[in-house]
Amino acid sequence: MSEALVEIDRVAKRFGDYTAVTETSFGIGQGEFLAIMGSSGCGKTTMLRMLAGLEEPSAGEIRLEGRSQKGLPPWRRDLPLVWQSLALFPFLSVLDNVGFGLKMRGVAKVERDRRSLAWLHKLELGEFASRNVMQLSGGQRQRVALARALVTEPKVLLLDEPLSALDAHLSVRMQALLRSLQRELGITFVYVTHSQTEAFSMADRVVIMSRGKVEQIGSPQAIYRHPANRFVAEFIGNVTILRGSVAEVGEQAVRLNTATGAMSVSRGNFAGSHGAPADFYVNADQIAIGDEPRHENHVRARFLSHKFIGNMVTLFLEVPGIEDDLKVILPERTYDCLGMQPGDSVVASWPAAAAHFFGGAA
Amino acid sequence: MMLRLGRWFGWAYTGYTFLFILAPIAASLVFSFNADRFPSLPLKGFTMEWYGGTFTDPLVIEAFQRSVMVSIPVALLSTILGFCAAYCDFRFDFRGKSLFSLLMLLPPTIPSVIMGLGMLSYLSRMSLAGEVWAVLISHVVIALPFAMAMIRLRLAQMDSALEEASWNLRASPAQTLWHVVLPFCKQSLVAAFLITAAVSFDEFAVAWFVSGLNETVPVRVLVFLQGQVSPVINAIGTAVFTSSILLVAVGMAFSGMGKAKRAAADTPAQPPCGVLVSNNGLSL
Repeated sequence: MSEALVEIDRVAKRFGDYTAVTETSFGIGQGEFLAIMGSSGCGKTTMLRMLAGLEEPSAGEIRLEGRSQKGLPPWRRDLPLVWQSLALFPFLSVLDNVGFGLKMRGVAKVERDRRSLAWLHKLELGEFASRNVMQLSGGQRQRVALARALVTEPKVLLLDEPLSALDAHLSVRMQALLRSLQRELGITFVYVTHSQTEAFSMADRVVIMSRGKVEQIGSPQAIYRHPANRFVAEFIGNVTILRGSVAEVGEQAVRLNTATGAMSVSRGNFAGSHGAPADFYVNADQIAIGDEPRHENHVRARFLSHKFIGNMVTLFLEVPGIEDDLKVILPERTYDCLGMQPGDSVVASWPAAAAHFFGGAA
Repeated sequence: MMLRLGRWFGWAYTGYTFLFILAPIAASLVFSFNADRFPSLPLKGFTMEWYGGTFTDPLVIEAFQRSVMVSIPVALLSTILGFCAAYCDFRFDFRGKSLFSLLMLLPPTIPSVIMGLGMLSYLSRMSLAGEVWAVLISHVVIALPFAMAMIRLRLAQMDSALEEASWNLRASPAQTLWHVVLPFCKQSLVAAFLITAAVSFDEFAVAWFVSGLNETVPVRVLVFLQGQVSPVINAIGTAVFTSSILLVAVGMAFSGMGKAKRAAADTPAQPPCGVLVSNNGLSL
């Protein structure tokens, strides 16, 4: 990625014996919305702090537009951050909070106030300019924090779980605002979050981290369809992982013997040999439910429970010989038509194209 | 019934304690306006004579001037050094940090007589004993822990991301100190200034040891008492008490106790500054 705006080159971070981030390299493109996602303690915030210069990498280096940021203190970088706690200055007015970065860059007061006000108006905060930040609501403070970071016209904006303190309704509105702002300004956003919804709805690419390691980088669709490994599959939670031993490697598909019978899995670039054990996954939204098998892979299962997510329903089915529940995602209408009751016996079936080996379909 | 009795006893005991502390001050206040030369009942009538006498006595005026001349620089120095010490403790981790904090807060726990003796023997070796400088140095030592404690409490309420946010917006550490940390601590700095001024203004024991001929007001009062029993003492006492209480009250208001409501909205509950302040109040 030579044209990347930000290059993370073999960067690692250790705190004493504890490794917060293991050696990692990836690039972030100009105008890209990149989300770094993972559960707490996975190293995502450390990664962001290294970008901002608040932590120095133990190894490797970070380059911005080809220039190494090594040893550069945070106050010499142009990588403003929107903090999880917002970190607004409680003793300054809204206007002075927004203008702080400009003041530190030596911009004269008149010009500073003009540019700060322009941003406040843009984010519908114009009328609050002279207020104290403590007098604003959570959503308004959020936008002040955003204005404070954007007023300096950075090439890259760093965001550390900025929406975690907002209620669901406000969070959705802010997501839309962030996405449209990012498109309009054409700058790079690096967005750290633990929320899959936030990451998948806004980002062009998602970095999934776990225990200091990058597990997968890809577009939301790619990660959703083709999780790179068991961790990502379980983290995203939209597939069922099955295990079998290779019986026959064909042109398009691989036949495996599993605890519930023979199954066909897309071959991809699978390189295992006859008799070898192999894990594969089945996409939950590509499984058909009925009284009769409709695809070549099928199992008889017992319907356990269901969960609504918007207009989709996730079904949990018990299959003899499989440890985990088989997950099936159906449109709500389809689910209604089936008229199933918990305990009913059904046939779940899927084509070979719905089943993949990990990392096989790059 | 027992419970009620216990409560009643509690109130009575508290009331008695306050009476014990406040009665001499109240007596001093009342007799400072009494026309009789001797503090005896019944009162003879209202007069301002003693106040007039007090504030025309050149020795008293000189002592007052000296007290003010000492307490203001003491307050300034204590507040500046107290801020530095508090900020070091807040921001940095270093070897012997707990020892440093212990030493910083030690002076108020040392008996005044020991402190006074120590200061006298130390400062006389530096040929400073009996100089105004000696009082100033000793009072900074005594007042600094109060300033440090008050400012440290305020710093504890600061979101650690605030400084980082300032660096992130291109403010150097020095600019951050000036534009973020100091404004954040402003109220506690004013409060520390006023309360350390009060500490210095009232302090007797150490000043008595080291002041020599440069008497401060409390020392002057003792000299008066040794010579005569005069209502002038009551007048001075009332004036000193009033000015100290004013300093402490304004200081407390600035330390944010009066604004606890507003502070509660954005920061954790105000730590008990009052404990510190009342310690000082009791040592009047």
